[in-house]
This record gives sequence, structure tokens and C-alpha cells, in this order.
Amino acid sequence: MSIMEYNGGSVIAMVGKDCVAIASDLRLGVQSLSISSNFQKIFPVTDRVFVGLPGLASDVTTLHEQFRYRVNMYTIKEEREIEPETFAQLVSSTLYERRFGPYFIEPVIAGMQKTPSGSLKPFIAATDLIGCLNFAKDFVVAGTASSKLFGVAEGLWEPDLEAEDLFETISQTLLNAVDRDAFSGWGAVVHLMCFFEGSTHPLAQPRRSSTNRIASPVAP
Amino acid sequence: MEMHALSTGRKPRVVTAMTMLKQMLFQYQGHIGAALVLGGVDATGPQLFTIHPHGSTDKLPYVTMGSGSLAAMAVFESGWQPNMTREQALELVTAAISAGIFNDLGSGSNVDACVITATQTEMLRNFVKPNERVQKERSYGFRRGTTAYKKEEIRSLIISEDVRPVREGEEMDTT
Repeated sequence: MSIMEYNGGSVIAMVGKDCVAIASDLRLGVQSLSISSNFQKIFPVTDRVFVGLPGLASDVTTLHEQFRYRVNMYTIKEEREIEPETFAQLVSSTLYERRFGPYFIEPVIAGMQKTPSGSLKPFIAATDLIGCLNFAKDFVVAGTASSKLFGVAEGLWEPDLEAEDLFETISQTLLNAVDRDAFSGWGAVVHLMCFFEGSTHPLAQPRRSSTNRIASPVAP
Repeated sequence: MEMHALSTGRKPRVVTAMTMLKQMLFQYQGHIGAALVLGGVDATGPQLFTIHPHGSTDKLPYVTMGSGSLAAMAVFESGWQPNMTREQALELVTAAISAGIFNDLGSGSNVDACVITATQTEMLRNFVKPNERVQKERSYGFRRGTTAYKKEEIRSLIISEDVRPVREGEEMDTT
């Protein structure tokens, strides 16, 4: 009996062109018995940063509270909101503090990072349960369906996907991967963050803006 | 090591680094799962060590560590000779690591190398790249609108702002 597979659940994050997406399933179970189909695993950190916490459900709650506390302290001390990369380092050090008695969570971080020119660029990262960071350029996966997510994502993902195409890619990757995993599934949620410089895009606001799009895909 | 060098007033030695590492690893009783190859040049000449996660050490003329260590050692056993030139040694370690990349399932991708001499250290990151990724031969992208969804929530976050000076052309008082 593995603690990492006790409650089930999976998270994935992908990079697109001027956009980033993070998605998860909604199942909470006790081994093979499903308890809930509305268990939140992805949490907003700021307007531009999301964190996914797949793993042991009790540690999902504990770590979410821990991160909320530490991000609030950061915001007060620095008098600004935390950047995605900084938050990834915060996650890493929080987990490594428990090196020899870890939280059973493999966090996934997605966000839009400020550049020196003032625009925003997509950022994703993932860590293992003791905080070893993986800054990927394409996609990151975690949870009980991670091996399946790797396979599907490797086949579907391509560079410079537009926001709409990224939504389809991440949704289909997640949906088809969790269908092959007994511990994941039972509904899904997708968070999409975009950056528009111009105003030709249908979702764009005049001038510079960033949009968070939340959708709950259902299996076709 | 820096502190040790400062307090003894001597240049640090490779055995000192090895002793400090083995004592730390032994203290953690193998819970720090690090298997190390340590190499260096000091007052006593060039030398190589291996340090196991539990703190045991070896001092040998050629050493290997990790899951590809058997493949790499096989290359060393057939190809190593005393007093090799820099070029010969670089070629041999590259061949040894390549043996691990291609024959051991736990090893892969590129070869890093590091050349240490008495005067300088040269880190050759991605010295050989025998596994470059090629363009995907086919795209499996889904058509837009494939994924059905029950709920959508859109938030717009205007992140730019106009800063208009209250009084234009007036210098700030910095006296």
C-alpha cells in the first residue's frame, strides 16, 4: 500500500505561446473506493500563479495552508505579489524542510512570469515530494496517472500552441490519461492563463491584459 | 573546505574533502543517498576516490559510480593505461560514459566531462550530445471545440497602467 496512491489524483501543466495551462482531475478516494468527485487540487496563489497539489489528501490541505501563510508573509514583507519562479523556490524549500519525513505531495506550479520588458512569459515547474525542482520548457505531470500523462502529452504537445489549441491539448491529454488510471478521473478542471499585447484576439481586452480561463471539461 | 584551508593555513587536499564527505555520509547512515566520485589535484599529486552512500571509500587509479558503473568500468578495464595524455583520458571517460548511456537503461542523454589540473579546472558541460531530439514526424493536435465543458469562467486582469506626473517638467527636490 503506497501512500502516494492512497487518495489518487493527477495534475498536468503545459506551456503555449504567450499562455500557460494547468489542469487536474477531481477525484478523491480511499484506495479503490471513490469518496468525492469534486475535490480541489489546484489552488490560486496570486492572479498569475496556480499550484497543483496531487498526493495524500490530508497533505493537500496542510500544504495549501502552509503555502498560503508563507505567500502572505512574502507579500507583506516585500510589498508586492510573488512571481511564479520565486514561488517555485518557496515550494522547494518548504518541502526540503521535511527531507526525512516528507509531505506526500508532488506539486506542480504554473504561472505567467514578469519579464524585464514588462511583458509576461509562461512558466511551469514541478517538484518531487522532497522539493527537487524540474523547470520544464514543455509540460510537467504529477500524480497517480503521471506515467500515462507523460505518454499522451509526449504525443499531443507541440511548441507555440495558441491559447485555444493549448486548451484542447491539455484537456484531451488529461481526459485520456485519467481514463486509463483507476485512481484518477471523475471530472476535471482546466485553468488557462493568457497574455495579449494587441487586441485582435477575441478574448483580448484593449491594451495589455492577462486572462484566467477556468473550464470544467466533461468526457465526450 | 574553505574554513579548513583558512584555519590550517594550507592549500586543501583531496583526502580532506574525501574525509569530510565520508564522515557526513556515515553520520546520516545512508539516508543521504549520494554515491560520489571525487577527483582532484593537490600537493601530493592527482588522485581519485569513490564514496558510497554509507560512507565507505576507495582510492583507485580509475573509478566508476552509479547505475552505469558496470558498463563504464568494463570500458576502463580494457582501455585504461598509466600516464595517459589529456586527450587519451578524455576519450576514455567519454567512451566509458557512452557505454552507460547506450547499455544501461538508467543512464542516458549527454556526456559531461571535467578536466582538473594543478593550475585550473575545466568543466565541459554537454561535451558530447549523441541523443539530440529530432522534429516530430506527425502532429496529433485536436481540432478546436473537441473538448466539451460544463462551465466557463473568464477573468480579465488589466496589468498595464498610465503614470501621469502631477506637475510636468518640475525636478524633484533632492537637497
